[in-house]
Amino acid sequence: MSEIKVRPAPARGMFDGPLWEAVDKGEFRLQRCSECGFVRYPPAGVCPRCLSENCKWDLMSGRGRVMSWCVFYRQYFPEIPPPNLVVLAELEEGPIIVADIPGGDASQLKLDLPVRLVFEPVKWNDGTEGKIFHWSLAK
Amino acid sequence: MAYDPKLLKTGTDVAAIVGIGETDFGADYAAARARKPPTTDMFGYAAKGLKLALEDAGLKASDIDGMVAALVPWMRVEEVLGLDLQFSWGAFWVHEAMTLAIDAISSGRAECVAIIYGNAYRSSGRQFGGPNAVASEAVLHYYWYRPWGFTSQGAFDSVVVQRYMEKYGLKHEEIGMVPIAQRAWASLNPRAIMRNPITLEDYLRSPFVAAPLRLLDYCLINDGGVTLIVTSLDRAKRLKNHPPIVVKGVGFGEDNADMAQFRPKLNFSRKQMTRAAQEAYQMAGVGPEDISAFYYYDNFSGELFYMLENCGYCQEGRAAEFIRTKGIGPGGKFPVNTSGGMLSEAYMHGWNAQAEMVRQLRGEAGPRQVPNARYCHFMLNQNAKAGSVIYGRMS
Repeated sequence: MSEIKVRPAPARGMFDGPLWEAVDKGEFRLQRCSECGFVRYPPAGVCPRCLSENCKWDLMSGRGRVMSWCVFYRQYFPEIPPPNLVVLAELEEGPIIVADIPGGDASQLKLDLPVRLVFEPVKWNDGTEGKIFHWSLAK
Repeated sequence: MAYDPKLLKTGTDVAAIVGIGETDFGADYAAARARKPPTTDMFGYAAKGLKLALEDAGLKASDIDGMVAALVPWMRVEEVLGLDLQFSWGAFWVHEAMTLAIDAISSGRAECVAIIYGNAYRSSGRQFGGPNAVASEAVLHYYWYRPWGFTSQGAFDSVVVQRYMEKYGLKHEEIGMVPIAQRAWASLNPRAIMRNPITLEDYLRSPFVAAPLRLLDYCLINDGGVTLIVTSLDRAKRLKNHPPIVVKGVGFGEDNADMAQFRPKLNFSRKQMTRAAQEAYQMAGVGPEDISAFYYYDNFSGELFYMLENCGYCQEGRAAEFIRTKGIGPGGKFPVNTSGGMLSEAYMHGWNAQAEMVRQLRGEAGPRQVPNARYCHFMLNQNAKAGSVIYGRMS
C-alpha cells in the first residue's frame, strides 16, 4: 500500500460541506437548482440562472471531456512536486471541473478526450484526512 | 431603451491627456532585486508619478480638482499627497478610471483630473500563486483549486493558450514572436527594465512555468507609479508643453457566466472582448483599420493571439499568421506594445502603456516613434472583464 499523499486543504466556505462529505464517500455531488435544474460549481448560495436558493446535492456521472490542460514545472506548493498535469474537463452535467492527473502524460491528451473522476485517500495539510478527486483517462 | 453603443457619444472628444509621469522603473527594480530595504511605499510611488506628470503638463498640484486613484487606496492617497479635491473616486482598471475621469469633466464636477496609480508589489513580496497567493471571495478561483495546485494567474492563461494551440494549430515558436518583438521595442526604451534583445533560441530555452507558457511569456513584477493628467479640451488647448492627446473611446465588456470554472476564458473571452472593442470603436468613430499602434495588457504573452481576433484585426484562428506577416516589432506594419509592455518595460497594470500611447501620439517616442501615429488602441482582458480605450491626436 503506497503512502497517503498530503495535499493543500480545500477552501471550506459556508456552502462547501456537502461536496466534501460526498467526495469522502467516493461520490461527486453538486448543487442542482430545484427550480430550473441548473448545476452550479463551485458551491454557492443561489442559482445564477434563476436566483433560487433551493437546490439538491445531486449525484454527478463523473464523466467528462477534456477542454484544456497545463503542466506545472514551477513548484508553487511544497505538497505538489512538478511536473503536475492539471486538466479542465466539462462534466456531462455541464460544469467545468479542474483536477490533476497524478503522474499523467500531457502528450496523451487532446480536446474532447473522455475522462472520469476518481477518488483517492488524502491527508490535507491542515491535519485533517479525507478523499481528493482527480481526473483519469476513461478506459 | 436597449443598450446601443452608437449612443455612447457623450464621452468622446471632451477630455484630453495633458500630462504623464512615470517613476524610474529600472532603478527601483534593481534596488529591490539587490534586496535593499524599500525607501518608500505605494503612496510614495504615487507621489513621484504625480509630481512628474504635473511638471510634464506645466501644472501645479493646486490645479488638480479631481482624482481617480487606481489600485492605490483612494482616501489615503488623497491625504498623503495633500490634494484639495472637488471630485475623488477609486478604480482599478484603465477603462474604469478613464470613464470616471471623463464623466467628471463632462459633467462639470472637475476640470483637471489626475489619474494616480502606484504599487509596491515587488518590495512587499506579493504572491500570485501558491499557498500565500492573493485571494478573496471576489476571485474564488484564486484559491478554490489549491488541492490540485491550480492557483496561479499564469496557469489560468496557460490553459487558454493550450486550448488555442489544440484548436488553431498555434506553435511554441509562434508564441515566441510576441516576447521577442516586445523585447526589441524595450531595447530602444531607456525606461525599460529588461533591455537585452532575445532570440527564438533564447525563448525556446526559457523554462516552462506552467506549460505551454514559459518564463519569458510572464510579465515582470516591480514597484512604481504612473500618473496621467486629464482635463477638458478647452483647457488642454491653453497648455503649451505638449500637444493634447484626446480620449476618443472607452469600452467595457463582461462575461461572468461560470467565470470561476474558466468558461469565458476557455471561449477565448470572445464575448467580453468583442463587446469592449466594439464599444470603444463606436464611441471613437474609428475601426481597426485606423489604428496606428496597438497596446494590450500583457501579463502573459499568449493572450495577444485571441485578442487580435476579438478586436477585429484578423479572423478567428489567424492571429499567428497576422503577426508574422505584418510584424509587431520595430519597423513592423502593426506595432504592438512599443515601450516593451509589461513583459519587458514594467508591470504597471497597463498604465505604462497609456503613457507610451501618449508619447507616440505626441510624436515624442524617439527611436520607437511610429511614423505619423494618429490613433492608439489599448485592450485589457482579465478574468470576466475586458476594457478598451482609444486615444487620438486632436483633429
